[in-house]
Amino acid sequence: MRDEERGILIIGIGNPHRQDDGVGIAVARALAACALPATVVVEQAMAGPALLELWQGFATVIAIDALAGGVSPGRWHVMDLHTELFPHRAAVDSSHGFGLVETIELARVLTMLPPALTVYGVEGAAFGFGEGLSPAVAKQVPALVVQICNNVRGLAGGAS
Amino acid sequence: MSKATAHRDAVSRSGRASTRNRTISIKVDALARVEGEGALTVKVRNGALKDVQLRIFEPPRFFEAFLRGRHYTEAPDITARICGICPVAYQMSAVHAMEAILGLQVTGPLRELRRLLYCGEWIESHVLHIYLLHAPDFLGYDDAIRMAADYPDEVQRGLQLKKVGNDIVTLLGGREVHPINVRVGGFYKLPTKAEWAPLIERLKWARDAALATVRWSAQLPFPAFEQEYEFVALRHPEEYPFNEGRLVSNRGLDIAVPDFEQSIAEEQVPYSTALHATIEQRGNYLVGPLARYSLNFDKLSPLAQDAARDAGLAPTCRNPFQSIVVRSIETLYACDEALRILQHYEAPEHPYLEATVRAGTGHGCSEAPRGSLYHRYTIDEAGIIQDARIVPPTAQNQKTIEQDLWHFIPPRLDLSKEELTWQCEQAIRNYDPCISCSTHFLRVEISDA
Repeated sequence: MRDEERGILIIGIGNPHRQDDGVGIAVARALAACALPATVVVEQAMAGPALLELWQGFATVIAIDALAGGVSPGRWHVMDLHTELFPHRAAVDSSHGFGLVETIELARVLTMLPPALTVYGVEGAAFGFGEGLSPAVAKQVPALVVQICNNVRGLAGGAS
Repeated sequence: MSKATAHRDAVSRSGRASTRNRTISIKVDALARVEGEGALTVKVRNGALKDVQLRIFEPPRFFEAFLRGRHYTEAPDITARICGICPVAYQMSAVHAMEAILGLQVTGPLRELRRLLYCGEWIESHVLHIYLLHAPDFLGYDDAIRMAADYPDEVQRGLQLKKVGNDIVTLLGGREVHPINVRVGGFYKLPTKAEWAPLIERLKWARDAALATVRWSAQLPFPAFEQEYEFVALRHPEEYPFNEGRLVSNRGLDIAVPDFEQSIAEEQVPYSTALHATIEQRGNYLVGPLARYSLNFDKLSPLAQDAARDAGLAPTCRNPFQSIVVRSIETLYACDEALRILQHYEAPEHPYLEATVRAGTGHGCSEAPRGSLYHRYTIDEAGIIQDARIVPPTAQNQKTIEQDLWHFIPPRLDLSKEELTWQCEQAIRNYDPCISCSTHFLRVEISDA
């Protein structure tokens, strides 16, 4: 049994060199600075099958990733992946296309989902080359961090 | 009836309308389960195949142009960015070309560590293709997620095996994707012997898993499709090739790497952003696992040779559909070779060799998972790159992929259009084509001619 058994894993996913694609990383970095109890925070440049191994042994996994094609940049959507399916069909078209949706659906098929898995999807505005979030997305990061912090503290408190 | 056969029969029964004597055109606008973006157009008129075009429309990426003006030390890191699947290959071809200019000869433990890093890349790239991209073709599934529902143990084995390859690249390369620890002359920093220790035990498991992969892949249903290829790969007198050797073929090509451009011509075709390659005076050829295996069977480790024989694979393999078995054998070899290197590993005194910059032109060729990858650079006396040329394996294989389809399609014109399209895509995926690398590729179109 790993030390993290029954702990919480937060995964920020994205590429900070592609503007709003980096929102998952920005949120993870802010959460890492919060010293949350019983929590491990990691950054992942890409989602993919490696996540299945990464989240083994954790009771709760929280993933933060950017959403493309949204209409309200900065708005976030909370998805409980044990009770919901992603709105579009997962398909492995290439390893380049093996994203969070495909990873979670593969884990579901292989019964390798963690006991609790929540995804925070943040609508982005710009995904071009360059560092820094667009103002509308950057403005929402602190509120999202507070919400996740409160959720984690509630989970950790409940477990103790 | 096996799960695979049952599923496949269901697929074959769908839409039996024959394409024989018809005029059809197959168009696959986005080829799936390949790396990057490309398409296939097939035109059949009155039951005769009239045209096959493998169209690569991923935009040119101009790497050769923006290498100009950069310092020679940057080449391995810049070219690693060409591909997220085979960055090590780009790094290796780049450093060997630069070292040829500088007169550096990397030997001993540093050379072994380069082979080890390449083992990691072969394992992760081959296993990804075997389990997640290619096996669904043979078993009749749209993708690995659907396949995993019926083959959970196999897919999990694949994921764990791939992870071992990733871990080698992470530990020695500095990170899993686009490693950053390779430099001209060696490495920036080396892991300690203690850091390698846990990997040795995992590689022992990986070697068993790779052997199981060979046995599993060998019993997949392969169409009878043997082709007369000119195989081209590196050949080294003492080892299965990664970084060094002469470029040889089964039809007499036997050249030193610097003579690549005297023997291999590249030409533009209007429908592809990747150049087509041919051997001067002869035509298309094949690089990659089939070529490497068929030209170097005797250099595989005894374990890999025995596994091939037990799997019923002859020392020469001309059926591209069996490339999944050859990739499995190369994965087994890579695990075996990685173990050999680590079990004998003694840390070098320095992580790299120092070099004094000088002007010149250098050539490098190494065996990327998909085949021979050639680089040529010219640098000035300050070490600034004046000119660069990169010839990736998928670009070299384009003409051979088309040739395969010219032979593969005519006997199958009685298939439904849907089934023929599926099989054409599978024939392309035999090559594990990396379109992103080659552009400088997959959608399939079979439509009215």
